[in-house]
Amino acid sequence: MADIIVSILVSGLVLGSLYALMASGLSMVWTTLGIFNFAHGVSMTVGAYVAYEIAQRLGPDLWVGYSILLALVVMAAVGAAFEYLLIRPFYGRDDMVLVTIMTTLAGLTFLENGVLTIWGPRLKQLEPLIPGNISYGLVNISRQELIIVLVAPVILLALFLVLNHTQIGRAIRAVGQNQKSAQLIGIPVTRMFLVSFGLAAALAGLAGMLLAGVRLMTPTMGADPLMKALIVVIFGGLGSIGGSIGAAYVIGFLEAILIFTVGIYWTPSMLFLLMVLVLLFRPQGLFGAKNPSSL
Amino acid sequence: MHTLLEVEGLTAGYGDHQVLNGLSFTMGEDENIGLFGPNGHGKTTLFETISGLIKPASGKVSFDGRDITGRSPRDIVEIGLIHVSQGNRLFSDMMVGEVLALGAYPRRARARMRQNLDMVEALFPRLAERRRQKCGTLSGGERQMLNLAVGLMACPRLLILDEPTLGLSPRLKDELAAAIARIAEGGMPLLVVEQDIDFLLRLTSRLYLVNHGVVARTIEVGSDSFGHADVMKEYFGMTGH
Ligand SMILES: Nc1ncnc2c1ncn2[C@@H]1O[C@H](COP(=O)(O)OP(=O)(O)OP(=O)(O)O)[C@@H](O)[C@H]1O
Ligand SMILES: [Mg+2]
Repeated sequence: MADIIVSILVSGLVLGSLYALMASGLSMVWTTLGIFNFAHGVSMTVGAYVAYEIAQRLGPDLWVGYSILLALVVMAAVGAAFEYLLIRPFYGRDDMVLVTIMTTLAGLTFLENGVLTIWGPRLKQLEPLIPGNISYGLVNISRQELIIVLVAPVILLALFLVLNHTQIGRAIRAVGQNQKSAQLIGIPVTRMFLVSFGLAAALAGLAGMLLAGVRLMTPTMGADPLMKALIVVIFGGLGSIGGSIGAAYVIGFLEAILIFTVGIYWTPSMLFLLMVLVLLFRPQGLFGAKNPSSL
Repeated sequence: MHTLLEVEGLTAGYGDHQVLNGLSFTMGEDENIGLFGPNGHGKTTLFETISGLIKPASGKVSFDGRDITGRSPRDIVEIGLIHVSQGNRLFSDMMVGEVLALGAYPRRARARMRQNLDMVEALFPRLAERRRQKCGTLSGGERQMLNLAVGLMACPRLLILDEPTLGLSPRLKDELAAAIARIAEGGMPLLVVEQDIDFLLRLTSRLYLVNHGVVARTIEVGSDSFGHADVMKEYFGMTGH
């Protein structure tokens, strides 16, 4: 029994870490632009394939040297280009929320098919950073998973510090709360949108790179994490990045428990049911303040 | 006298609703100017056009000899023309201290952030006490103080204030008016929209009456005997009540 609990905890922690990396970006784009980016999941896919390509060309030691940084920079550029091409033309329109549902869905299909065309349907995998497993008492975890569990909180802490203690971070939050006031301070509003898209894509890409070291890569690998990130963001309280991160771990643990108890097929349905219940009884989300735009 | 701000034949509005109908005025470098006029006649629209939030249909705005017509709000802030807007609610979920820091966002203000912070906290001690309070929970008067303080953090070369004492109790109004007077004494040129004529008479050397989107009358305050009653007479004489 104890070994089961431990393995549920470990797998919950791994899932939670991945979801936190995904959901923080989704949530940040929601708080700054007020739109839901359906292409956020495919950013994860593209991140994994970009890392794969870089590993092919520069050697499999993706994790040492500049390869991973290069992959993250490429992802930030992909996110920024996405904003520039598919979101920016629609700023200021009354129906922007609706239009961007369509443009982000369009972007999703383009990127997914692009990945399929460039890299083909064959399953791929990244070399794990450090191969092998670690066993310690009842805990049995692959080194790659351990890295995921350790890297995610560090990255999220860095994100928190940037958003709260740097001018650019404050500017991103300010733009989400009051565009006109932000303009009168001299903040370039559309550039903040670009930055937040770029940052979100880099975070999702990182999740993809980390995941591709433990699971096989496919062009549609981002679909399920997008769904989970959506649940997480609503669960944590729309518009609260901190709430999303907390909720990511809650959902991760819940998923691990559900997989063990009701099985892998019923788990997504149960998670959606939970989301509906949360919306019913706590519309502001698990950690959300009454005010819908708190951080 | 050197001209700091010059507005020539400005027309602007919202969609096909034109609000400014060829508005012109000038402001010198060493003077404070007051604008007043009936509600809904374009004072706020004028300020938003000057600060780049609204693009004018025609006309010209020059600041310190430079043509800034149609430039982005960011460019205009960087040049040093700072607009403290009417009833600005700022960022409800950010703390007072964060918003003040953000006020120093313009490149030209970054190096002076520390000094400016000391300056605005000396001017508004209440804000210093509330550094960690969220903007959304400030009282109307405190928020108005924060608005002014954020404007000052940007190292303005010209501060344009849109109804800085709107909706405040008489006591708070006096407090704000005193702070604005101190800002003016420090040599900051002010262009102020206010309904409180007495406040404008004390602060400024010239008043412009904005009516139907144009400057309908210029009133030199300098002439010693000029007072509230005279303004009212001119004002009502003009609008025909
Ligand atoms: N965003 C907007 N869209 C459409 N019309 C607007 C908008 N903002 C203002 N108006 C209209 O433009 C006209 C001028 O408004 P403005 O705010 O410039 O007046 P004001 O002189 O500042 O009035 P007040 O003294 O009440 O502040 C008004 O008729 C107003 O209804
Ligand atoms: Mg007004």
